[in-house]
Amino acid sequence: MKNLPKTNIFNTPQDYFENLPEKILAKNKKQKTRSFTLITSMAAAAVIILGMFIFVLSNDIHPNNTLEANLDQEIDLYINSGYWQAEDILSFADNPNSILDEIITMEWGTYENENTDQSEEDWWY
Amino acid sequence: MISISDLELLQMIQNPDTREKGYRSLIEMYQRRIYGVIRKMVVIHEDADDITQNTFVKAFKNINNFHGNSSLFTWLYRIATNESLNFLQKKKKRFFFSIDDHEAVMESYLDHSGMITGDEIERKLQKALLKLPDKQRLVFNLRYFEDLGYDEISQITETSIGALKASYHHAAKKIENELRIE
Repeated sequence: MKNLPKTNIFNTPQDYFENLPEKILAKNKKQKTRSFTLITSMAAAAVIILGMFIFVLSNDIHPNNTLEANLDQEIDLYINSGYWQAEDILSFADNPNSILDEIITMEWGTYENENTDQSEEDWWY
Repeated sequence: MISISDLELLQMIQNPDTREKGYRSLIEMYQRRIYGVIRKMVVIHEDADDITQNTFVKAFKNINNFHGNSSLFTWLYRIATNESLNFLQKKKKRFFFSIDDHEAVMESYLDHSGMITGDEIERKLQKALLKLPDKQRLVFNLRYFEDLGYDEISQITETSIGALKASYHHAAKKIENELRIE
């Protein structure tokens, strides 16, 4: 080992060490700016996500309910404006006859009950 | 532990008005030695240039974590050697699936680059060093070329003095054998 050379065989380009401090300082500044931009972007993203989260929590949205409400309003509008007649609405149903029967039973049933009450009243007098 | 010049440098860096000047002085004071130890590890100038720059940038970034338990120079050396070893490790992983390997690239650089001077024996020594494991090569370089004591190398590499002595002894034996064969 004693005979082995210790000389430095590694050369550098001319003026390398004269220019190196400038290169390092420039790189340092660039990295500082980059890390600042990264932190700013991450903060902005965090604020947006938090904002969306709070919005969703405060406005409990149910898409089905909203759709149903809109449909009911629309149907009311068609009926009130006279655009749809009773026949039209019945034709939308799967079994219009059974609906008609139901309506008749309800109406006749009420009429019969009303009549019975009246005859009882007459009997008393 | 801290020399007066280290203290002055740190004070300059801690003051926002003189920080830039402090950084510049730190680089000017240690750049040649830091570059030297890195270059001996990675051989190729362009790689050594990159790692030297990264070493100082990392040092600036973490200067507040330097508590003066060692000299500023030892602390810088630790960053530089870690950066060099990480670089070589990454190169090995990258070349795992490749035809070339980085050791061959460095060996070829020693033969053909204009950035290498020295006679045949000197180049043979460097080639023999490339055959050592990276950490063993680092210990050998710090002891043989940089003339650092085992205490200082122990602080830089965070390895016990006993292990360092054994590592250096093994490295020297391997190099002697390698050069004898050639």
